[in-house]
Amino acid sequence: MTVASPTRLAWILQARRLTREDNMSIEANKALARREQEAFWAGGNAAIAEELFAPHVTEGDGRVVSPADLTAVMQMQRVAVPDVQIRVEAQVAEGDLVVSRLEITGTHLGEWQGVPPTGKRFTISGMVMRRIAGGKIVERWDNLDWLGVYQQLGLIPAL
Amino acid sequence: MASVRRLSSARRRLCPSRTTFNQFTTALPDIHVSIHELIAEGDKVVARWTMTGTHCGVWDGIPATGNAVKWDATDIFTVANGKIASLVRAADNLAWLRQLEATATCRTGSSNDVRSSLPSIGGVSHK
Repeated sequence: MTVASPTRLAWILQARRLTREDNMSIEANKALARREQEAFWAGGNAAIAEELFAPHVTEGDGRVVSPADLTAVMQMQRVAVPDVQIRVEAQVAEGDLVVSRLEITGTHLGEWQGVPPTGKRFTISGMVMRRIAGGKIVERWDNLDWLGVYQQLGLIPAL
Repeated sequence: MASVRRLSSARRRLCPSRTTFNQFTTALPDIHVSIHELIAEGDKVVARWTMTGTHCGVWDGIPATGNAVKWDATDIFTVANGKIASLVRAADNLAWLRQLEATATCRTGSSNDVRSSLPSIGGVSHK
C-alpha cells in the first residue's frame, strides 16, 4: 500500500466529512418527519407548526399552504378523531427526501367532512414523503388508505 | 368451492405481479407509469409513481367508462441478493374508485355497487 499524497489525503478527508454531514442531515430529516407525525398530527401541538413547516409548503396536488393552513386541517381532524395515534413504522431517506410508513389508528367521534360521528375505530396504513430544506418541511406528499377509513367506519361497503 | 378459493389465492401469492399486470393492461390499454422519485437507503428502495390511462376495459367488474384515470402509489421494496424480496404499497384506492364512477348514462352497476355509496369528500385531501 502506498502512502496517500497530500492531495489525495485531503480529498479523502473531504469525502469523509461530506458523508458524515450527509448522514447527519439524513438523521435530522428523519427526526423532523417523525416529529411532524407524532407531535403535530397525532399530538395536536399547534405551537410547533412554524418550527416544522416552511412558510410556503407545496402539497402533492400542487397547492401551496402555510403552517397556519396545516394547523387548521390538523385541528379539524382532531375534532373528528380526538384519540388519533400515529406510529411511524419505517423510514427511508436519501438526500433531502424522507419517506415514512405510518400506521394510523383512531375513533371517529366528531363530524368529518359532513359525516356525523360513527363512534367506530379504524386502523389504516399510509406512506408520506417529505422534502426538507433549511431544516423545515417544504414539500409534502401523502398517500393514505382513505378507502380503508370509509370502509371501517361502515360508510361504504367492503369490496 | 373452498378448495377453488384456496387454489386461486395460492396462485395469487405465487404470481401476484402477473395477475395484477394483466388486470391493469386490460382495463387501461394505453397504460402509462411515471416514476416521480426513487429513494434508496440500505436495502430499501422507495418508488413514488403514478399510473395513468383511459378506462377502456373492464376493471374488477366495472365496465369501461372512457374516463381518464390515474392511480398514485408509493412502494417500499426490500432488495436481497439483487432481487426484490418484498414490497409494501400505499395507494389511493378511494380516488381510484371515484374516477371509475361512470357518468349517469353508462352506469350499469347493481344496487350494492361500491361506487354509488362513496361519500363525496371535498377539498381536504391531506391528513
